[in-house]
Amino acid sequence: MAETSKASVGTAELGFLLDPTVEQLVLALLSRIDVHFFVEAVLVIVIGYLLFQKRYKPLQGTEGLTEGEIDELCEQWTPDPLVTKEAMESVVKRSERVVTSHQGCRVIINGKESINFASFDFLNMLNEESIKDECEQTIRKYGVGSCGPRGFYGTIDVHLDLERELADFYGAEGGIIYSYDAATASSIIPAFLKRGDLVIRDEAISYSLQAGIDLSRAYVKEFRHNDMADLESILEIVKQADAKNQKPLNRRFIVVEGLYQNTGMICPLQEVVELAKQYKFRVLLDESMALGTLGETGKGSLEHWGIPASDITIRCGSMSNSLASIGGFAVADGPIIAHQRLSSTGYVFSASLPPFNATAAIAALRIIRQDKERISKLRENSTLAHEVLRDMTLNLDKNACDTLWLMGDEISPVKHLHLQQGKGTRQADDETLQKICDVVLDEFNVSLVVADYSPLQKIAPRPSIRITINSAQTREDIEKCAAAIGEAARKVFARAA
Amino acid sequence: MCPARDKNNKSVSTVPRKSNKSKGSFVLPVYPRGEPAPARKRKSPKPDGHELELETEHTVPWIAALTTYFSYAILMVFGTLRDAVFNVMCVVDPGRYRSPTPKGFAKLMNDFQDFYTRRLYHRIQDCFNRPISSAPGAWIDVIEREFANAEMSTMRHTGSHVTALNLSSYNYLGFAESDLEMRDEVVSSMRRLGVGNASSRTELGTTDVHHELEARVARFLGKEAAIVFGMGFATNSTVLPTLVGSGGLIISDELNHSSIVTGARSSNARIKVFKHNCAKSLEEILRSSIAEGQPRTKLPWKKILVVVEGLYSMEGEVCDLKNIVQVCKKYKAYVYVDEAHSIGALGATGRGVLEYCGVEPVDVDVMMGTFTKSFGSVGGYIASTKEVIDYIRRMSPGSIYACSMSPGCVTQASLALRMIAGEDGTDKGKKKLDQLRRNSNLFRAGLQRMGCEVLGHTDSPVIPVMLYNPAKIPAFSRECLARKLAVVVVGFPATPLIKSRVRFCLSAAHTEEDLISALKVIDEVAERVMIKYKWTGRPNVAPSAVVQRLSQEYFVDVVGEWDATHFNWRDTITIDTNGRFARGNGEQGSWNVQERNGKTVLRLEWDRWPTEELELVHMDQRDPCASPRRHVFKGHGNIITANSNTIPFPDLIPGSHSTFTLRPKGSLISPNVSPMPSPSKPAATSRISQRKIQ
Repeated sequence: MAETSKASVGTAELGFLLDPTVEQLVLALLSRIDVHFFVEAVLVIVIGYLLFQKRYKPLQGTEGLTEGEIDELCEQWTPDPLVTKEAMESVVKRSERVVTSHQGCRVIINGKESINFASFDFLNMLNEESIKDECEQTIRKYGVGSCGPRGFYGTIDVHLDLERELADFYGAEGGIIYSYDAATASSIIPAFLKRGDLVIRDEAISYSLQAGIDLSRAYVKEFRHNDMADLESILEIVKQADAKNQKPLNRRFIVVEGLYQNTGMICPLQEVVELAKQYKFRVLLDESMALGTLGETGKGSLEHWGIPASDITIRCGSMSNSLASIGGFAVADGPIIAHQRLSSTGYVFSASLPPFNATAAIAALRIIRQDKERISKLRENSTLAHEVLRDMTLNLDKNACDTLWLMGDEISPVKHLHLQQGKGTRQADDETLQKICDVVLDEFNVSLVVADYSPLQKIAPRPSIRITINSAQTREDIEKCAAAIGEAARKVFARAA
Repeated sequence: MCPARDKNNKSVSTVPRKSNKSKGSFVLPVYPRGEPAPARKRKSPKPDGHELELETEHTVPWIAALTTYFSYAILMVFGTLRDAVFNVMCVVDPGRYRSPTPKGFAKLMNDFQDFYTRRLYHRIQDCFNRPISSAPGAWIDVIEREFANAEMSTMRHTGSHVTALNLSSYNYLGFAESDLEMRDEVVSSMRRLGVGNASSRTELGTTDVHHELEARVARFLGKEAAIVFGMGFATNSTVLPTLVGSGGLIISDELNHSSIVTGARSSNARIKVFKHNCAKSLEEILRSSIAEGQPRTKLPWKKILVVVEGLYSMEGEVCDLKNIVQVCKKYKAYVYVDEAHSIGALGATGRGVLEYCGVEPVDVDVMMGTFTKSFGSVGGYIASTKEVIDYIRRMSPGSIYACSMSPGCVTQASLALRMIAGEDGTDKGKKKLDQLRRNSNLFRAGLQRMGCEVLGHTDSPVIPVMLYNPAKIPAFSRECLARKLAVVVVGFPATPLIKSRVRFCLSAAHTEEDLISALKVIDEVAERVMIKYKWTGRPNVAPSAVVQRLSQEYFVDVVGEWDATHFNWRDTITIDTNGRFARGNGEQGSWNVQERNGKTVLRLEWDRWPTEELELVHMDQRDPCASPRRHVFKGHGNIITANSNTIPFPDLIPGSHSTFTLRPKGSLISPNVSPMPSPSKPAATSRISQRKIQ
């Protein structure tokens, strides 16, 4: 009986499914009972058990605490004040200087006229009447603010003109403008780099770049300032690590500035580009200081070093230095620019640049193109300043309690005067240098600043007097400045001793 | 054909309307009689501030959700197919199709983002980044563009432009097109101090105008001190890291602006997020955070900073600040309020969300705001105690590294603030504020009445309307621009995937005519792209009126009731002297007031709807507003009486006004059986009416 039914099931394997009876189904089931059946049944039970089990919750901090206990904890918790005393004491004190007028490289500070060696207005654009005329027209036509981000009708035709001008000036495919220098690099970098990517940066880069790299959460490694051997050794380590563990490619950047604001040194870009090519890194170059100051016609580092535009992936910079306007910019290939228009937070989520600032930048770019005189004059002034400042530092009394030393490239319009020894703390050194600046301003009518660093900057150079050269300064101005610093330094160091 | 400037063209509708299908099937379209719909909104009582309707949850209609997901699925499938074809072609014909990434390098752009840009965004990129060639005032010249290639990746200008009504700029108080004296002062300051400064605030970037603006901001907000920055975004992103460092905790609203997110991420503090505008969720997080302490070390937090926005620009929602401040006080957390959109736009005197919600400045530790929106300039400020401001000045990268705010912009902000605060000796600022509020509420009500799904709160000048489907984003935007209306459409990633929306930003520079014609256009477009998700099948009507006689004219402010789903909102109807009226959404009709059997009856003869007859009842005799749901119709015109010598309202003193109730004929409720006989209600109505009419 059992055998025949088994056979019938076997022969009509599918047939009974068309018209099953209970008996046939049971038989079909029984005929298949074996070890597999039991294993599967156990599996089903286990899965069911897991499914209906209580969801696993990680133990939380408040678990086990009663409401009363939480109340008590909340009651007992006393927060620090928003600004603690220690924090307040840790910052470097500064007295604020109020400017009431800019007249060329002459500036009126706290009601007193002085020669300006402090603003980054290298090409004397701040005082250019033709720029102001154009700005006036723009203000009368477009008003002041643009009242909206670029995406939402905040794009005004002058913005597009400026972007085109910038791309044209730099010989790049496309340009993009940002409404503030502090938000330019710190928006561009996170738009391209994410966690898991790699950045090799110079240790002297400015805060905006540093903030951008931090925000991107990429892995970051610093190389010593302008030290190509150090850079190469880091790249070599990366290469070896790559060879060891085969990982998918990540995005890699070398981040440098064409001319370093914090040190006044020019980046050896040629070598950086060669290394980048060799080790398959992309290069992000900040041209904030280099625009208008490097290269025969002021077109920045690439012109200075004779490097083709294709070797640098992204060039960004600030329009508030040589262009004496407001805002930041980036130039690169079309797709890279287009990507920023959707992914760069400072571009997407911020109101656009006021139209008159864009006009000022366009006009300044035009002047840079037409007026080659300014750039050669700036170069001349920078070289002269380098000479006289170096002589001044050499002539300082070696036996005084401290002396100054000059940092910065010969043709760089940014120079830094550091203390030779210092007192070991930022506050004390800053104070000494400020005293020198105050004496220079009070007695010699030359305005200088001590380069200011936020405690948020991770690697901040030691304090220094920053001297910025302007194309409108005369030989006498520069000599006067150097002499004034020498005199003031002698006084302050004597007083300190 | 500009919608507002073409007044003679009366036939505006070119599309078949719903009314054609169901004409005649309506009874008098007022007063839904049934039970009010189950309350979706929670009321939070606030004794001295405004009441906010806090939506517990915004629900997406299932049909919209379904079709939206389906649309995205189709877009993704086609995008992937096109990419696949492209990849094949790269192999087949490498000369023409080249992969953009050189060998040995990783792709520069994130894969999904890149895909989204190429295959989804580029198709509709004409709706974004539209360039303009005029000041961003009430009317703008939008430069026309067209796609330059088949891939739709680039656009070129056609060389012409369209003059369109601007419902998109954050020009809340109309300072984008400032008056001429203001521009003169801006120009003179720019000439004296330069276009920029080429120096940071702590170096040589501080000028006298900066100091003046800082003092003015502090005075206006009732804080000890203030500091200004050159960019609103950078204000948040560079100040937050200075206030909270490692060992601190930042608790941020889930819908906070990107600048706050950036600032919080730049600090070394821990970040937690609470449910949007929900004080309860904030309290839970605060309690558990304090009880838990810092992760791993379990040390107590050094400090906790709660960051909220005054007005959420994508939602049009006002912050529930009163409750949030209460919670923060209870748990000793510091409060940071970003007033980017609310300063100058909310509050009776423009002092922002604090004034609106009745919160004292002393209860908010740090107040942040921008000059971009209401002030027509650019930049941002922080106002707080002197100690905090001094610290920020010496610590924030925005103060130390960034170029200081352009003197021209500083002057513009300063002058605008002077006007808003009334320090210029005129009432221009006050008028602007009133106009903005009137415009916002008119427009919001108009959109709600036409059945659109409108987000946000009353009085908010930002009014988002839900679109949902991705295809409706370009459709709405293009159709509006074709009808001379510049609107902002927003989709993923700025909003959640299925919550695409269009966002209107109102301005004091808009006139009522501008807005009514805009509403006509939107009505038409909304019908075409089918976004009237809340259409119930009938329009609303005004049940009460304020009548004021000025010289020979009566001003009629009609205060009406509305059903339970619409809460506490107002609308305006323009009644002209020719006996015509137009409602917010463009509905029109003729009106007249008749004396009949000793009763005063207002006849609203709608062009598209059955005529309504409403009886004008003096408010002293009856409860004028049985429910708090009301809206105001405003306009003026002659009141026709049977005998032209008799004044319809004998107790009306010319030059003053009283409130009357309009009730549908035959549905007069006697005072005894009034559903909600509340003695305080008439007074409330009359107060609002008075404010409206002044």
